[in-house]
Amino acid sequence: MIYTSLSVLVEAELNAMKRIEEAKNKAKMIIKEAEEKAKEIKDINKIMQRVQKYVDEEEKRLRREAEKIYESYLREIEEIKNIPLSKLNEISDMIVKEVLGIE
Amino acid sequence: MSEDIKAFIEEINRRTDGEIKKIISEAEEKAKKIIKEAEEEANKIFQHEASSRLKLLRRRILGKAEMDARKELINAKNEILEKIYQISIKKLEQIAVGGDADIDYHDILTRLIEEAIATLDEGEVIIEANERDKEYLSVNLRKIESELSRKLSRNIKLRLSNNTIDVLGGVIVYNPSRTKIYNNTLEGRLNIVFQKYRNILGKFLFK
Repeated sequence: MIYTSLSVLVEAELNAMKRIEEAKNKAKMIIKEAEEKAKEIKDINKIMQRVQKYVDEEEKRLRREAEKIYESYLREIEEIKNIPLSKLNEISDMIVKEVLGIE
Repeated sequence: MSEDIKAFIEEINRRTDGEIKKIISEAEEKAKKIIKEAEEEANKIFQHEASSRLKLLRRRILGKAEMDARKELINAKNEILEKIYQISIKKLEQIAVGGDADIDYHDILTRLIEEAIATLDEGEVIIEANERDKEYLSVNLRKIESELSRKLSRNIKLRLSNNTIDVLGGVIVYNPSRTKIYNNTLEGRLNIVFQKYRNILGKFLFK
């Protein structure tokens, strides 16, 4: 009777040790997987690919922005080019008077 | 199986479950930390690389667009100012040949000589002018001399230089020792007026 009880307890203890060992192995696996994933995350080639993709997108955005800047200047340039000749003549008259010292 | 044994086994199982839970949860925590640290490191590299490349790109694309556009704007402004300058030159050319009925160029020429003498503060001066004005001055020199002597309240002696200058009109006046020279040609005056009003013109024209 006592022998049977002890053997049951030993078996339970052995089973517990086995489960703990399995859990430790599973823990090792979890960490190993994490380390592999970390290695992949830190892969310089992959980071550079992400950088390139981001920079390409930004370049498209910057080009659109540059076009807007250029267009805003073009509007101003067009306005200047379209200053009527009458206005230029008016200014020239003032200048000529000043050159000749005429009031 | 006795109740005591059952209780022992249950205790062993309970303890084991607890330990397993602890082992797995610690591993999961450690895994999370490993991934988080890797992500942080990767992000740091990404940020550093991306920001330095973006800075260059911004300068290259936006800086160039801004520079090119400004250059064109300045060119457009200069073209307008040049146009005004050329229109003014043509008008002065017309006036100098007596082509403007409202303006007596000979009066202006006399005033240009007067202004030069008054500034030089000399009694005797030599005048250089273009061929056409020299012709007029040679005929009217004495008359102008006495008119200016009267106006400036002192004796003025005018001499006409043998040199002929290639100008629209106006004069270059200097003392006999050539230590004082006054450029009162129309081009010279036009350049001064243009310089003087360049900024104002810009503000007036290019609001």
